[in-house]
Amino acid sequence: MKARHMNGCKQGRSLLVAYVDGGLTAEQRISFEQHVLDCDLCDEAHRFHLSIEELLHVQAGPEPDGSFEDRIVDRVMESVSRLAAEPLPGPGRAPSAKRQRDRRTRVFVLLATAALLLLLARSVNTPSSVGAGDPGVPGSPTASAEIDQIIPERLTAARLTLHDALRSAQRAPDFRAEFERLTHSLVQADWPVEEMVIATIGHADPELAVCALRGVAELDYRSALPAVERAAFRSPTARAALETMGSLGDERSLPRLERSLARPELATAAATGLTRNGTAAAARVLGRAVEDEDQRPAALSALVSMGTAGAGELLRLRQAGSVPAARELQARNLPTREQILSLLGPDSDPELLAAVLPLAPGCGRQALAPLANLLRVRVEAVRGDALRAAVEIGGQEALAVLLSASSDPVATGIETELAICDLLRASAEGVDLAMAAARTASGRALVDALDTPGGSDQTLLPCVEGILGDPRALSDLRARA
Amino acid sequence: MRTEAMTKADLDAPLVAAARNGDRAALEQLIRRHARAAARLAGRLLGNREDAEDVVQESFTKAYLNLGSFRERATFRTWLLRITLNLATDLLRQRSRRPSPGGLAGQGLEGPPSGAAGPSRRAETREQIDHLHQALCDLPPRQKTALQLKIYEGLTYEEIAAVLGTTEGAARVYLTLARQSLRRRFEQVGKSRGVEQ
Repeated sequence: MKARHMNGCKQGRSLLVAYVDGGLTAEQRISFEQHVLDCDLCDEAHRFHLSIEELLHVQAGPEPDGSFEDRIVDRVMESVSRLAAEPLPGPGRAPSAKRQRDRRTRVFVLLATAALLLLLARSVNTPSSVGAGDPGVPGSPTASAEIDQIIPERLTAARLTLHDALRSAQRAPDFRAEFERLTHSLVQADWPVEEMVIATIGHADPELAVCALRGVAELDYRSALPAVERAAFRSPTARAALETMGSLGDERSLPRLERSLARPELATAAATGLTRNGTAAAARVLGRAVEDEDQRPAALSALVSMGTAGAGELLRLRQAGSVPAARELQARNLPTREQILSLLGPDSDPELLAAVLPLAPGCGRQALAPLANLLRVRVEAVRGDALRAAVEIGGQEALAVLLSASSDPVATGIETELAICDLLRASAEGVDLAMAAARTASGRALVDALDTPGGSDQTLLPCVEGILGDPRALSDLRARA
Repeated sequence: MRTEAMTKADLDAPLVAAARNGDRAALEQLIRRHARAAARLAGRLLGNREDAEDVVQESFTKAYLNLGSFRERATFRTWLLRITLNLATDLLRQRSRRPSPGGLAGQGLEGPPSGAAGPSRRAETREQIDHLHQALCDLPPRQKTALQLKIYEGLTYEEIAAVLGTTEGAARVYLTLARQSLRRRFEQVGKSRGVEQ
């Protein structure tokens, strides 16, 4: 092929290459095409350029084969995984941005000067040679330095290790132990593991973000609360975020959890979060939700699971809640037996104890141990209620509890003896009970109680004599004890 | 092809963001989108398929590990091609040789463009291709790369400038110079052989 006029005329020359490259505006393109129709020189030059383009495409060479992408994917993933498995260097320190700027400025000035001198000495059309000092030339130190930064490379490898650890620990029986085992290398290399876990809460992969939320709850990262709150706004992570919010135990989360209770799609997660919070304030939030018929099922379920605080709130609702709520609680026997027993501890609020003690007899003999403990540690405000509860429970074991309480040297008043009397009288087999007690430690305690000077003469002795019905039987009782 | 490049650039941003956070599925998608373009560029520079694949693999690994420093002033594609270009050139420098005309030609030149052409026409076309190929090899690296990115990848002047690490104006100049060089070579060939169009 040969074109006599490969450059075209003066007018078309400047636009020819740009036209071939598609670099003209629509207006310029139309103008050039019109010109080509009228100009033989440019027409010939244009066809010559197009023929070169055609040849260039012809010699494009073969495309990679069909499995090329699969090979590259496998090779890249393998190399990335290998990097993640290697012992990690620490995060290190990023080079000072100012130092990097100063260095680049110096290099640029030097090279610009060299380029200017070169231009003065040579023609414009002479191609510049490849030189190590040319900025941006492939392989030059400046170009390589921009790409070969160490710090981002290390961070990505560390993230891979952390993400794998979060995923694996989810399946382990002990999350914390497994997570700490898998991130030991990161800790050894001084990586900020807690910050990295918190940052993962915002990960674009929802599954990984949820793993991070659960990790924050298991590891008790209190500083994660702001990130957890943001995650609660994203649909894929909202439920996990609400549950985690409660686990972190911060009262600032309670209003958000309370609002979420009113949304059907989030109610269960919000209730779980409040349960995990476990405070009296969280229980009150659930108590308010119980008053709402739509929220009642989730709220009640959460209060039952909540432990002492939940039990206390259920008790309060039963006694002081709305009629529908109280009825619901009674129908479901709430608080549960376990919750009532949990409330009988000496650390419970006296007001709460006073409210729960009337329910203790419903728990049967299981309540005697906590009642004995209450009497032993001398919670004076509720002593009478505890004694009455034991009397109501009745039986040998209750008698033993009362006799033990009566032997307390610090205990004053005849309250305990009266309780014993009430218990003995309340038992249809009072005589048998007294006689049976004689053969046990309770019997000896009973005799001791009878022989205790003071109030016993006025209360217990006449009571036992009345029960036995025969003064000589009392001697007999003494002999057997 | 320019439209395709622009469309891919729009779709890459969420994948890049996900890969930056360690999402390997996003990385795989980026590989499948851009591996061939990187392979073509590396292949033409290196003249060897195996070396080209090595460079492509290393380019993606480097890109993934350095996503934290990717500023998104350019598209992911042009950034990746720049990495590929640098790595391929580094490898060339290590090997201290330029790809022989035979090497590239040996990668399977297509036959004559027109199946209807006669034997003499096909021979002439093959000769032209050989001359063109030699002319391409003789181009300075930046002009050759600019022309290849324009012809085979359909990049815009701005994108070519991003790959070369230069300005858009300089990219236009490289392309103009490259085409002028090719034209001069064909002029010389035509004069010496007296081939008439």
